[in-house]
Amino acid sequence: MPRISNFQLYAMLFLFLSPLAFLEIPEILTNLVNQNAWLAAFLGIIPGYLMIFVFNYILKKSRYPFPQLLIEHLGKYLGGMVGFFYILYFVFLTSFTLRFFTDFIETNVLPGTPISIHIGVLLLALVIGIRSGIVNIARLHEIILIIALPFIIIILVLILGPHWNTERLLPVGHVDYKLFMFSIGSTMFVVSKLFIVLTLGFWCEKKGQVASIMVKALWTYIIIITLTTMATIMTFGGIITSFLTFPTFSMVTLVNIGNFIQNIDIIFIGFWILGIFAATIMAWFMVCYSTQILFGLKDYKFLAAPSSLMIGIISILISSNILELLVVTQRLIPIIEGAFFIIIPLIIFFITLFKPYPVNEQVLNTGQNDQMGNTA
Amino acid sequence: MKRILILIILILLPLHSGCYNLLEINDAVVAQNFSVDLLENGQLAFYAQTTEPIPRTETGEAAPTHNITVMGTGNTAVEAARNMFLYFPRIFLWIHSNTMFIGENLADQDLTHVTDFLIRNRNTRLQTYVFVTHDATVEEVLEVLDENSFGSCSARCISQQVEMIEKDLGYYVPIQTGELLEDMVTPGIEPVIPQVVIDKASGQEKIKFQGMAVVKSNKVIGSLNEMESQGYHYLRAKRKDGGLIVIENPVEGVDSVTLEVTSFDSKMRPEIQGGQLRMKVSIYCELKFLEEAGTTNIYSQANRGLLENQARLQIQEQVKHCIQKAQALNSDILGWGLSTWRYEPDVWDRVDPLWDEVFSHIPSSIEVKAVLRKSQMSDSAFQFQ
Repeated sequence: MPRISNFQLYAMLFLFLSPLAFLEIPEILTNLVNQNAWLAAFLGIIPGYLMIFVFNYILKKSRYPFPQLLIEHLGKYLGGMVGFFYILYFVFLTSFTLRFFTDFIETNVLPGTPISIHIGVLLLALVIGIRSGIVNIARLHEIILIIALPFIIIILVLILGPHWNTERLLPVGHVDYKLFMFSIGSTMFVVSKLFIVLTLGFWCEKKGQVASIMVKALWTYIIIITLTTMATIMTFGGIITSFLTFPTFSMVTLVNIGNFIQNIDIIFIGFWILGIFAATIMAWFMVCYSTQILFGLKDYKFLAAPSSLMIGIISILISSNILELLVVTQRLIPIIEGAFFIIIPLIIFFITLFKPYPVNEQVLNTGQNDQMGNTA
Repeated sequence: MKRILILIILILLPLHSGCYNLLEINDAVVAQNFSVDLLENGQLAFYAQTTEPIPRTETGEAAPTHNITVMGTGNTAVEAARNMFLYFPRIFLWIHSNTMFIGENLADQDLTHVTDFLIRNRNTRLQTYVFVTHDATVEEVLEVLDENSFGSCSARCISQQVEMIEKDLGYYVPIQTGELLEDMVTPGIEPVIPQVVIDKASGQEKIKFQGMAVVKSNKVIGSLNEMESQGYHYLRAKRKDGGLIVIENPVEGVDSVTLEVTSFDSKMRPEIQGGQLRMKVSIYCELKFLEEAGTTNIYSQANRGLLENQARLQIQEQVKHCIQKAQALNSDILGWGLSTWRYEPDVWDRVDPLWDEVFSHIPSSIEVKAVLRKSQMSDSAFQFQ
């Protein structure tokens, strides 16, 4: 059975939530609630806590990690079928994350490089990552977090320093409340990505502390996204932020230290690639691991290479241009993620309400360990 | 498998430097400035100014630099910019260009020719300083800059110049492309852009800052003169320092006194009085005594109140003129609408559709407090023996 430390779990959860949201959330929220976007980003903490409660409850009431817990709670056939759909969904999520990244690079950094080159090179690195196993992936997340988090904080300080203008956040709370609720709801699909804890939580050194780790990851995400949204609004104002496709990136291009250190956006991209690697590899790991469990395979690592073809092709076919991709991002993804990361877990949560706690969790975990022992 | 992967990575490594967007520095030039103007035939002209590279063998301390301007024309800004390649063999590194001139012709007709270009273009930064040419075309302004540049300075130095003008004189408030776009799309505020003219008074053509262009909606509709621009500086400047106050004949025996505004803070707040929207403008300034033309030793505790009062009246007058001009042009360059939205959002919801009719009639009160804080190296006037 693989073992991951509390900090590694924290890093994996935070890095699964943040990299895409860091670029897209300010634009999505300012489109809905203009200067109050930062408030909506902050209040994402409420659905976040709700999801933590749901996931933690399912964790406590389950004997096996996801996707086995689907069979445990939904039965062999229905659970297996839902699990199969989850595999397809994680394939889609991996492809989408890859495509979002490559389209961003295509639009802002290297417009001449064919999209297939970006995808191909990333796939190669990701296949190597998955083949190294979940323990090494966890260690990698640890390193990425230690590198990326201070960098994000430095960037925010450098931006907020010269652009500090709280007037741009006014009037606070003067907003269409329906839109405001919708905007808070629209951040729910991001925090619901904590879903992967249903697999990773079982491998955590101290399973009893998984809830507090989720809370820490959620707060880190909320603080970073709130500050980022505030910074973009203070820099560009609510309306211009809503015009920009990637306001966070546009904001980074303005970093200027004493007219000496400037145009540091390429450094930002270097760090952001690490985050995208982390977010993509977790979604892909879930594809391989779920396939192994549902189809009774001995290992998941060998699935990386064959599934890479499928993921690569889907990421190219997912949309014909960035306009379609933005429609996918803003319309389709919230619905699909809502279904898989919110509605199905809620159904399982209600089912587990009527079930007793596992009698001897340790023994059952050990039984499950035998299945996982060879794969880590 | 591991060996195959390592082999693939090793094969790919040499390709890292050869990505599709490779640009050799020898094939590129640094753009110091990019500008847009509207020609008589209705086409857009796009200009880029750069410094001619000096061959390595000729470099030295005395080597002169030579600025050149390249022009392309087209129906859109992008087409015009790309048509520059019909005349020029190098690729411009736009990321370094920090000034932009907008021609008077274009500014007077339709600024939307450049707004979309600015917000979409990935090569330019939203912190480029913007200027409008006045009584001259962009081509003429750039020609003067090419011929009369100071050292290697050219259009690029204009941005430094406008910052110095704001700090030392308090005349013209610089505006960057991001701020220009924001003020153009945000309800309740309009942008003001510093103007440059060609000054021929001394026989030699020079670029001079003169007034600020007032924008309404998508075009320039008028301008602020020096005094009005000073008032605008106190109301809307981002940096809260800078400004020069010259008081003529403050007391008998003193021709003039010069004071510097070392820091200031200004607030514009909407107030509802008797159901009517009013604006309350309050400014607090700290002053430094720079010089007096005379020998009366006016910098004394007894005269302090007098100097502060004279400075207060001068600032109040400048601000009043600025407000009157904005209301006469019916362009909310003061951001009163935005201020109403921020501090009285319910009132704004009511007046927003009628703002064009309402703005020019809004009464205002101006309160200025000026405090003389310090002198320079001497506390007494020079006395002849």
